[in-house]
Amino acid sequence: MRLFRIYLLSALLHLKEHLIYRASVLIWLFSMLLEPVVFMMVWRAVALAEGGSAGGYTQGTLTAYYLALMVVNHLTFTWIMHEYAYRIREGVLAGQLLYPLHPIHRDVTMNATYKLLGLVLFIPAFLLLSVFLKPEFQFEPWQVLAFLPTLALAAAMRFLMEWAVAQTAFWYIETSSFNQAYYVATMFFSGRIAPISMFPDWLSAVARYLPFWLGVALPVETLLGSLTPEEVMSGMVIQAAWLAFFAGLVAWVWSRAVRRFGAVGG
Amino acid sequence: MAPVVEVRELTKSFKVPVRQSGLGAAVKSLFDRKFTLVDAVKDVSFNIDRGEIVGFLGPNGAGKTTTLKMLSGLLHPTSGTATVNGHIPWKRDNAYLRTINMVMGNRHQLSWDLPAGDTYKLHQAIYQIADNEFERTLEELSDLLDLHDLLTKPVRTLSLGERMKCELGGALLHRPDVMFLDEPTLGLDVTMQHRIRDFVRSYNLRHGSTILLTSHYMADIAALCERVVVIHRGQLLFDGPLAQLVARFAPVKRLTVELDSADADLGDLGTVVAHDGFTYQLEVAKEDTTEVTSRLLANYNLSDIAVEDPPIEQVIEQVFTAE
Repeated sequence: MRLFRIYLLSALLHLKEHLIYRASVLIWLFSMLLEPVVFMMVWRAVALAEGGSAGGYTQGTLTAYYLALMVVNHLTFTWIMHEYAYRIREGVLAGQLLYPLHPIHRDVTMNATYKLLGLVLFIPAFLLLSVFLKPEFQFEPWQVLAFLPTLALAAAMRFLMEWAVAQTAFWYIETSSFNQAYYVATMFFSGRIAPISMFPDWLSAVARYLPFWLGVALPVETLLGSLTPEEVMSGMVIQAAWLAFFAGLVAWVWSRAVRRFGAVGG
Repeated sequence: MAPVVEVRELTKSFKVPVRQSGLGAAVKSLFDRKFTLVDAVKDVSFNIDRGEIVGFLGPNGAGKTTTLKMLSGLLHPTSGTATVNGHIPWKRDNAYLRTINMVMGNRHQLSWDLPAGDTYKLHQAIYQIADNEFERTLEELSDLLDLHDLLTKPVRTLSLGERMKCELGGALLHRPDVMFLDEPTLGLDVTMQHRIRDFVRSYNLRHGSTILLTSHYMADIAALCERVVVIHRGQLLFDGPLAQLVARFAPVKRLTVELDSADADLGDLGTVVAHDGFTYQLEVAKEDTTEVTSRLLANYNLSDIAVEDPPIEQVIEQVFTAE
C-alpha cells in the first residue's frame, strides 16, 4: 500500500516535470519515432528493388514490423544509464540515498510516466503511418494475448538490464563509452537495424537468446505472427530467466556500489 | 542515558591516483598506475547525547562532511564503528533512515521544477506520515520558517535562502530525532542566516532533537552550539565547550581602551591591532593581562576599558595554523 501510494505520487510529480519541459520531451519523442521510420523506409526500398520482398518480408510486413517495433521500443527503452554518472557527480544520488526507499523505485515511475506521455504521440503516429503506408497485420487472437506478457517481460527485463549497466558509473567516471557499446549491441541484436531473420542463420539463432532481441523484437514478432506458439513460449521462458538474472545482478551490484559510493558533490 | 551518537575510531581513507604533469607521465601512468591513500577521517571518536547541538569545526577538507556522510549512511567507513539511535548508519536500514536526515547547503532533495509543497506530499508517502500529523507538522514548520507563500512556487524561482528554508522544512517533515546539517547557511545573507539559526534553535528546544552542525560561519556555531568538536586533517583536535576551546587555544586577550589622546604609543604594552581616533585595541599575552591593565590605569587617562577573548574566528584560525 505504501509503495503504491509512493508510485502514484511520484508518477504525478514526474508527469508534472515532463509537462514543464514539454518541448524538450516532444523533440526527444520525435527523434525516437524517426529512427524506426527511417529504417522502415530503407528496407521498403530494398524490398521494392528486390522484386517485392527482402529477407522474407514484403513491403507491407516490413511496415507492420517497424510500426510495431516503434511502439514496443518506446515502451521498453530507458535512459537511466545516460544520466547516472551525472546523478553521482552532482550529488543527486546522495540526496536520494537519504530516503528510506531504494532509488530504483523513482526510476520505475519516471520511466512509466514518460512512456505513458509518449503514447500520446506514438499512437497517433502509428495510426497515421498505418493509413498512408498500409502495413500488413494479420492478428490471430493468441498472438495479441501472447504479445502482452512478452511486452511486460521485455519492459521489466530491459529496465533491470539497463539499470545494472548504469551502475558502472560507480566504478568509472566516464561511462559514455560503455553506454555507446551497449547502444551498438542493442541496435544490432534487437532487430532495430533489421529483423534478425535477415541475419545468417547461426547469428539469428544466437540473437534469439540475447536480452537485446528479447527486449524489443520478441514482442514485435509475437504480435506479427512470425513466430510459432512454441517459439513464443520458449522466448518467454528465456525472458523470465534473464529477468531473474538481471534482478539478481542489480541487487548484487547495488550492494557493492553503495559500499563504493564516494558521495561526492556535496 | 546512552548517547544518541557514538563514534569510535572512525576512519575513512580514499584511494587517490597520483599523476605527474606532462605527456610522458600520462603515458607512463597507463602501464604503471600509482595511488596514494588519503585519510579523510582518522580515528575520530566522540559521543553526542540526546538533545545536544554540537558544532563540527574544521577547515576545508578537514573531514567534517565525510564524517557526517558516514553517520547519515551515505559512506562506508574504512574502519571504526559508529551507532546512531542504536543503528549502524551504513547498513542503511529503513528503520534508521526514518529517524534521521541530513541537509546539505549546496545540494537539494526538492524537485527543482515543482513547488516544494508537491515534493512534501511525496515525503509524506515515503515516510508514511499520517494526514493529520503531516498537516500539523507542516503548519508548525511553515510558521517557524515562514514558508506559507513559498510552498506553491516552483523551487527554481526561489532565492537561495528561500530554497534552504524549504529544504529544511522538507527534511524535518518526518520529525527526525537526529539531524546532520552541513553548511545550512552557506551563501546566505546575514538576515537569512539569523532566520535559519533561530529556527534550528527553536526546533531543537521544541522537539529535543539531536543536531550535529558544520558551518564556516562562526556566528552559527557561537549562537547554537555549547559544545564543539574540532577536526583537522581528519583527526580530532578538541571536544568540549566552546568557551573552553577559546581558553585553551587563545594565548592572548584583547583589550579595547578609550583614551583622552589620539596619538598615544601603546606599543610597549602589547600589539596594537586596531586604532581609530581615541580607541585602541591591544592584544596582550593572557598572563600579562592584569599587569597591562594596571599600567594602563596608572599611566593613561582612560574613559573606558574592555577585556575580551579574541574573536572566535581568530582562535580557530590559530588552532588550524598552529597544527
